[in-house]
Parts: sequence; structure tokens; C-alpha cells
Amino acid sequence: MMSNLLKVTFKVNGSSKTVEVDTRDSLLDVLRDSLNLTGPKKGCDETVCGACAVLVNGKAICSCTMLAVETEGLEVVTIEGLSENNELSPIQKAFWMHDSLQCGFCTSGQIISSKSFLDGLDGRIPNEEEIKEALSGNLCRCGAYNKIVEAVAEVAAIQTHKGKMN
Amino acid sequence: MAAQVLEEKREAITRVVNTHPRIDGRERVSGSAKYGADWKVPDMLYARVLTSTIAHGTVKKIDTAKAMSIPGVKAIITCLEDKTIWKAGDKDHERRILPDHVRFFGETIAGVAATSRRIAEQAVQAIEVEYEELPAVFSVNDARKEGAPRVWDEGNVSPPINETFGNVKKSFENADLILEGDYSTSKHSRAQLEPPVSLAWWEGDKLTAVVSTQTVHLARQSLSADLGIPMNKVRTITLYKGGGFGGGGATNYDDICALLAKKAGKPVMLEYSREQDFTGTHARWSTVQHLRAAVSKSDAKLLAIDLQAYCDIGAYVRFMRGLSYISGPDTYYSWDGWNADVYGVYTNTGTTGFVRAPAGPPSCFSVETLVDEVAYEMGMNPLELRLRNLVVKAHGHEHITSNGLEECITSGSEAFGWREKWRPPPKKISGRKLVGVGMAIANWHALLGRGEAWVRMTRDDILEVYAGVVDIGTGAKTQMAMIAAGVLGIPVERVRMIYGDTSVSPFAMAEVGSMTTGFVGPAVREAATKLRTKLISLASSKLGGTNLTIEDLTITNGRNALKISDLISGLGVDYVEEKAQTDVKLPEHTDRLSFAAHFAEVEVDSKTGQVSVTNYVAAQDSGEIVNLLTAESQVQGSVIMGIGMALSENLLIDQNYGSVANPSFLNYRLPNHTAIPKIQVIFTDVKDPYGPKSVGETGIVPVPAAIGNAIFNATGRRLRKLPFMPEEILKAMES
Amino acid sequence: MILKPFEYSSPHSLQEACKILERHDDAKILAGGQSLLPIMKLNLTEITHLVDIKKIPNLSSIEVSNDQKSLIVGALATHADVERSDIVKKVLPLLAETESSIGHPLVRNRGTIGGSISHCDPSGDLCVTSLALDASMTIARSDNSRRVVSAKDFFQGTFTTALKKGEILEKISFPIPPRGTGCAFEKLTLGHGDFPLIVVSVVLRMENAKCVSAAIAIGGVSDRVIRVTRAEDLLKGKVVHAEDLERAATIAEEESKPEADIDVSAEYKKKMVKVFVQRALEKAVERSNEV
Repeated sequence: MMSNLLKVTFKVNGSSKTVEVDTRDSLLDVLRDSLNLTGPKKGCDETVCGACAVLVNGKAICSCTMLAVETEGLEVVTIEGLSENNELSPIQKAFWMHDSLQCGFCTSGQIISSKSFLDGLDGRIPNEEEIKEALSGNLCRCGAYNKIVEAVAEVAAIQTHKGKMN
Repeated sequence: MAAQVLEEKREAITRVVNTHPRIDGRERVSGSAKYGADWKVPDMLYARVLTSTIAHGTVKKIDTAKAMSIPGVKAIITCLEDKTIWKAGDKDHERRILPDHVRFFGETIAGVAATSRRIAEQAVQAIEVEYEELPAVFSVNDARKEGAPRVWDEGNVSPPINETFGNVKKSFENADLILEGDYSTSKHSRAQLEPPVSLAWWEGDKLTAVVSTQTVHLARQSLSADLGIPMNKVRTITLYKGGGFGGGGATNYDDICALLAKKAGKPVMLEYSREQDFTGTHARWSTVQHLRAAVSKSDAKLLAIDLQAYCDIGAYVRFMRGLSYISGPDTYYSWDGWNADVYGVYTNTGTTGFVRAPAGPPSCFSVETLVDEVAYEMGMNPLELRLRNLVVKAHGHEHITSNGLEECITSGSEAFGWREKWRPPPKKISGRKLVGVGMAIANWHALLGRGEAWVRMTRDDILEVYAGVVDIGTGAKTQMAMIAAGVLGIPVERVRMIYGDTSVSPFAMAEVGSMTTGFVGPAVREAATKLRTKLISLASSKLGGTNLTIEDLTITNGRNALKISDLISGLGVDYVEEKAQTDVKLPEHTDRLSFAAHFAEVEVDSKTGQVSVTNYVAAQDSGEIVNLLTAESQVQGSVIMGIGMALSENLLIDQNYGSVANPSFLNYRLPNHTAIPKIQVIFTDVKDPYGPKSVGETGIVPVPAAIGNAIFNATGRRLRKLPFMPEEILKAMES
Repeated sequence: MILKPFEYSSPHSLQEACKILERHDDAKILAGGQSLLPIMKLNLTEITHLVDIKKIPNLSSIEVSNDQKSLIVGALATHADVERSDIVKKVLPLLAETESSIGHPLVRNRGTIGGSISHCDPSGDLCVTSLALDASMTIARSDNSRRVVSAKDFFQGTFTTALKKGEILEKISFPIPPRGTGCAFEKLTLGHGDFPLIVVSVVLRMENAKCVSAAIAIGGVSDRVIRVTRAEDLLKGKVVHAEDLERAATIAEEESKPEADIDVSAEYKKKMVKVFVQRALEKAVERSNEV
């Protein structure tokens, strides 16, 4: 079977990577198989469940519905890239403390979407409906929805407060 | 193991912290937790299955030549040469992992292992199959017809499973109010977010399988039995699983994966697509029920129920041996009589089996809707009717170990504001948004049984707890850690759970049936208690004195103290260990049940029929709650799954081909964030002599009934068919 | 996963991209990929070449024209960009509202307005709204020329637009409705974020309670998005009362020929056309008064 291989260079979790990919490979497959970043998950492979969400240039997208070749020159951040020096980011800590997860399979995607949303708030405090809408592409079969919203609301409030103090 | 011993244990754990974040939370939020498909072993091949494109018939020919010639294809097995029986595949019939006589659209008929996923998929597409098709049936109505094509030789309609007590005929004679109705519930998928996956490799004649299961031990038994290899040559591992909602034992894809690995001589990872999960794994059967209720109007007493049900059990039924497809509500009230005749009807439409509280929601839906209809007929507040008929003895004579149903109803209704919110349904529909409230009660079995645990206090102050739990999201690991930590008076952070691997953890049944805390918990508790006693006794020979206590990893007699780590190193060993095997049995004629009372508020759009759930209170009596944080999450989760059952989930079968018409999250709709209100969870304070009762399934049982009753309250229209689609609600409002 | 191999190129100019399209029979534009990639994963298409146009500069701007009369949106503006743009919210809130309803944020962060419009789904939200607003599509060609096609000529059938081989949608120009115009958008889905079943976009230009012009566009009821001109003519030039709005909605229902889906009937969809058109018209009248 013929295949088309291309080299792509892009940033992943802060470091530059050059990977040879098949044009048909999704970003999700390349992250998981070539770069051993198994945080993002393949829940449906059809842009509905959100378990594969990663940040591309700061915005949360479904990595199952993006080709690896499209990442040339872009910055990708996966769940693994949110912690710094083994220190969990505020949203990760909040998820853990609020029990905003059960089986944990959707958790990477939920946190990525939350991060993208929180980073776009610019100091605003969101209401519950806004948070739910922002995460409406992330399914959770275990039903951690209430506690996910609580965690995001808490982090939003803290980051706004911190912003005001600065 | 008597109740008094457990009473002593409960005292020993008065210090236990009763809320704690998951001990594996860090792994789950950082992306480092390895689920099945995250594993990578050297030389690993990838496998895909080929599934049948007919619903009933035989595979006459399979041509794998083209597929085998694709570079990178390493092994193919087909239904024409493999005869392996999947013993856990059907409760009554012989079912092969690769049947050549297929009974539903989507049966596994071949497996391919190749050097990449893409090559495996291309190879599957290149396999050519010739079928001899047989006529098939895709609905209960068709399957029941005279001369209908048979799914199995013995016929499509099984002899009814009958559950009866009291004198139902007499109750109906004495009744001055009889109500009846037809109810139906839909086929319901588990739809856990992690698609099925299996990884297997052989070292000589030893098999290691990383399976995505709710029970490593039963999976190991299954693999051993199916593949004909001794138990000691099989090791199964599940460290993280992305949700389960019903399962047990090994699956056909676990067997297929192991055989491909054997044939290829390399490790093989087999993955199902989301579509294959919908079509190829077991779902909850749909039901069609006819109920009659006998009521005494004068004292508002529910006397008896007579129930006839036909359940579409698909082509195969897993797990349900000895169990009825409709059961449970026979213990909801203080009935004088109950009679249920439940027929399982085979159709060529996939597999049915355990799905979160298997018979629960379909059974509760019909009964709790009918009870609501009785209340309306009598002009009564539905809350009042239920309070007047509280169950005291199950089936009229069985003792219930603890019964918090009344507390559930009162505390739940108070928190919800039932008395303020409830008024009879409108006589006329007016306005765009119709608001209504509804309630339903339920109970679920709270089983006790065999469990095993080993506990080791190590010389570096780590408490190792060995238990066969898997932790599919229930928080089981954390609960066991909390129990052990509580007995020994140490911080939960000092506990290391060793689990999910048959080579290192002791036997556990399965994380199903809400059994884990009840089965494994007592074993952990007992092992930890024994260890505590042992440590104290070892210390007393050093410290002297008789009244020694453990606190903060130190043993003291009041005057002198000895650090546990010093004690253990002083003994010249790495750890001190104790083991326990428990098998708590209930006395005869005793039931153990957890109870629930749910209250829902809905808003119905009078012009579109769309429903949103705006408020929800779930009150539950689950005995002693080991971890409030995760128990609350479990109940919220089960309510959300119930909302899906009520409003949107229906696995549809194409009536021409028998295939699943909506095998995708695109049109098998799970509730997302925007569909879910704040779900308030209340646990009652009623103590059970045996400690924790079931949590994770009880919460789904009353949900569809509560929502249906709320829709009635909002619109004055009674819906008796799940799910409540906007179109049906609109039709009802316009009639 | 995608099984059929394809070549991939990412040209840096529209002209180059057009030329590549002309050279290959089975080449497709890759913009956000949110419609295209799921289709490719079904492995039922014969796409041999993907032309990624995201490296082409100046295709994602959102700006008001010099004469202040139009909003011009580059084809590569993502749904999220348009949804959040202050300019769009100010001069054309109907467009922001439409964008905010598409799928879910993960899709909106990637999918583009040009991609959606070129995809031409018979129930496409943006197709409906651009038809209601009488938008014009600027199309680039391989000789570097441009041609402009009106929305009503652009949407020609199911997944069929006026784009010829070698042509690429460059930008969409929306006339900015004058003061006193009320717009509204309604849609029917079975679940939040689902593929839309019925989409309604309404633009009512009012002057002193009199309807000067009306645009009622619907998706999901035909092989393409439609304007219900019979209903529009009913309202045009009249002082509109509630009965007129209902009558217009009834006409819209009559003109609709939706098809059944696996879990929703054609009759229900038709009924919902009337409900949503009526609601949209009522909202539009209300909003026209708000200015």
C-alpha cells in the first residue's frame, strides 16, 4: 500500500519535535504512538466525545480531527504539558480535590477544554451556563459534570482574584 | 463472621476520615495513568476484527489470501478454523468467539494482527466472505409470531420467569380500584468512554493479558477455561479502566487477542472502534410490560401488582443465569401480593447482559409510573401515597437489615422543596414553558460475600494493601485505603494499594453488582485489624504494659513510645503482614437493601416537547459511607446515566438488516454538560449492622420514573415509553 | 482512521492553491477539516490530494468595509473567531449567534466559516444565515481573478455550490442591516451541539412598525437552504401583527419538505418549522424595537 510520508516540525509541551508522519495520521495518533504522549485518549475518533482534546496555539481542539501534517509550525500542549516540574497546574489540582473525575478517561480532555476556557476569560468571572457551554464538547459517561463545573468555577474565581491583586 | 465482630470493627474505625480525594487522582489528572490502549510493549502488533454483515446465517467461505498478502499482516484467524467456546458469552448456549453460525449483524468472524493499525484495518477490508443467509427476526413482535424464524432451536420465547408471593388473585378481588397500563423501555448501551481493548503476550506457555475488565480474577478464570490453559499459566492485569457499567469475565475479544498473539508469536493489542462497542458488546434489554395494580382506596393501600413482560434479550444473554429481567419493585412497598411473569424473547439483535442495575430502571419505571397514576386517580399527593405504603418486611416476611426509605423520602423532599413545588397537573396546557415535579422511590440489593485482603506494614512506614479491586472509577482503591488507614490510625497518603494484577493481588469477585465495598471492605478491615493487633503485641514485648495504642505511626504504652518503623527494622524484616478471608453471610430470611427517593423538576416546551431537567435531588440510604466524596460522585453519575435513559438514549435496530442504526455518539445521545442541572445528593444517617451498603447502581434505578412523573405533572400527559422523545411528548400534549 | 493514501500540499497563495485543484481531479481543500476529515475516515471517498490553505495569509480577517456598509469575513476565520469578534457582535449579531450554535467549542476552535459555507450542507447554519442576509461570496480563480456570487446563486444543491473546479471561496461579504432591523436565529437539535435538524434565520427590516423587507431562510427542509419568499412577501410593506407572523410561519411550514431521520419523523420536523419560524419572527420584531 502506498503511503505519503512527510516530516513535520512543531512544538509539543514546550519542546520542538520533528516527526515523520503519514499524511493520513491524525494528530492524536502521532502524539500517542510516535511521541508516547498517551494522555489524550481516543474515545470515538469522530469529534464528538472530546477525550482527545489538546491545545493548539492555546485553543482546545479535537486531535482526532486534525491531521498531524497540519501542525507544522504550531504549538501543541497535551495534558502532560500542563504540569511544570511535577507540580500540577491549578485546574488539575482543582479537579483532583473536587473529585471532578471517576474513571478518568475523559479527564484529560475536560481539563484541556477547561484550560482553554479559563485562559480566554481575561479576568472575567463566568457563570455556570458559560462553563457548561465551554465544555459541551467533552462527554463524561461517569457523570462527573457537576464537580467539573465546580472545579472550573473555583479556578476562575481564584485567577480573577489573583489578577485583581496584581 | 457475625454482626458483632463487625460492630467491633466499626468502633475501630471511628477515627477513619470519611472523605478523601482519590489516591490515584494525581495519575488521572496528569495523564500518566495507563489505560489499556496506552500500553506499549516491544514488537507489539495491532489487531482488528472482521464482523458479519448479515444478521443470521452461516459463513460458507472466507478468503484471506488478499489480506495475508498485504505486507505487515502477521496472523489471521477465522471462524472456519477456530472453534474456541466463549464460556462467558451466553448463559445457556454454546457461543464461540468466532462463530460460523452468526446470530446478529456484527458478530466477530475473523481477527487480523498486523504491524500497524492501518494495515490491520486494510487487511480486514480485504477479507472476502460468502454467507448463506437465513431469515431473521428483529423485534419481539416478529419473534413471537407463529412460525417465526428461530434464533435458537428451542424457540424464541423462553418459559417465563415467575416471581410471586401472597395471593394476587384475592388482592384484585378485594381491590376497589384497579389501574393498568402498558409500559416500554428501550435498549440501553453502557457506552463507557474507553472503547474495548485487549493486549496479550505469551512467554512460552504462559499468557499475560492486559484486559479492560471489571474483574481481573474472573477474567483470568475465563481465559484459562476458554483457551484450555491452567490458571497458573495465566496472568491478567487491569490498572486503569475507562468506565464499565456492567461486565465480568473475559470477553471474546480477549480470547481472540490471545490467540492472535499465539499465532503471530508476538504481543498483540486488539482494539474495538466506538461503532464496534455499540454493536458488539452487551447492552440492557428493552422491555414491553403490562401491569395491573390492585388498590384499596379507603386506606390508600397498594395491595398488589400483576405484571407481564416481554423483554428483547437479543441473540445472546450474558450473566443473567437465575435472574429475572424485570424484578426489584416486589420489595418497594408493603405489598400483600405480587406476581410477575417475565418472558425473555430472542431476536437477531446483539447481546444483552448486565448494565448498571440491570433490571432496575426498567422495572422501577413501570411500577413507579403506575403508582404515580394511582396517586393521581385518588387525588393524592404522590409523596403521601408512598409514605402510606412504606415497606417494613420485604415480601411480607423478610427482615431488612436497615431501612432508611422513609428518611430518604422526608429528607429528600424537604431539600427539594416538594411541598412548596407540588400541585396537581394542569387541566389545560397554556404558556410556553411548563414546569412540573415528580418523584420515585427504589431500592437495590446490598450484597455481602467473599473477600480477601493482605495488609503489610513496611519498615518505611508505608502500609501496603493487597486487594483484587480494579477501580473502574468507583473509587474502590481509595475506599480500601481509607478503611485500612483508619484501622491503623495512619494518614491515607501512607497507603499503597496493590491491585488489579492476578500475580500480586488476592482474589476478588468483580467490581459489579455494587459488591466491592461489601465484599472486599470487610476483608481489608479484618486484615488491618489483625495487623494492628499483631503490631501491638510485638510492641508490648518491647515496651511492656497491656494498654497500648497506635497513633501517628508510633505505638505507646502511655509512658514509652516505639516507632513502628523501628519495631519492624528491629525485627530484622521488611514488613509485618496479616491476611484475611471473609465471607459475610446474612441470616436466613433477611434482605439487605439500599434505598433511594429521587425528586426531579422539569421544564417542558409546550410547542416542541423538548424537556430539560432543571432541578434534581437524590436521597439515598447506603448505610455507612466510607468516602463521602466519591460516593456522592457515584450517585450523581448514576442519576446522569438515568437522565440519558429517560430523555435520549435508545439503541435502535434497523428493521430491514438488523444492524444497529445508531452506533455512534452522534445519534446515540449521551447527556452532555448542558443537559445536567445541579444534582443534590443526600445520604441518610441510618446505620446498618454490616456497614456500607451499595451505592453505585441504586442511583440510576428511580431516575426515568421520577422524570416521567415530573413530565406528567408539568403537562397532564402520561408517557409510558422510554425514552421520552420531544415528538412523543408533543403528540401527547396535542391530543 | 483514514485508509486511502493522499498527497498533501500547503501552498502559500490562493493562486497556487487554485492551480493545484485544477491539476487534480480528486483534490479537496483542507481548511478546518471538521467536515472533511470525518468524511474521509468513512473511507467512502476517492480523495487523492489535500490542499491545505491555512498557510495562505490574509484569509481570516474580519472587518467592516470602507463604506461601512458591509462586514467582510475571510473564509478561514474560525467559528470561534467570528463568534467572539467584537466587530461582529456590534454590527451583525445574527452572525455571532449563528456561529455560537455550531457544534461545540472544540469544533468551533478549528472549523471555518468558509469551510462550512463551501460544504453546503442542506441544514448548514451558516448557509441559512448567509442566505437570509443576502451575503455575497468572493471566489478566487487560478488566473488570480475574482468573481462574486450571491448567496442565493451560491447554494445549488446538497453539498453542491457554485464553485467550479479550481476555484476557492476567499471571503464572504454581509450587508450590514440598517438601524431598525431585527434579526433572529433558531434551530432544532435533539441534543445540544448535535447536527441541526431545522435551522431558521430571519432578518426583518422595520420602519415605524411597518415591515420594509423580510428575509426568512430555512435549512433542513430541502436539498438546499431556502428562502420562503411567499412568506416574506406576506410581511413586506405591512404593519405586522401577531397573526401575520403566524401566517408567515404557516407558509414556511407548507413550503418545507424535510425528510425523516432514524429517530425523528418528517411530520415533526415540519411542525417545528412553523414553531421556530414564528418564534424567530417574534424575536426579530422585538429586537427591531430595541434599537
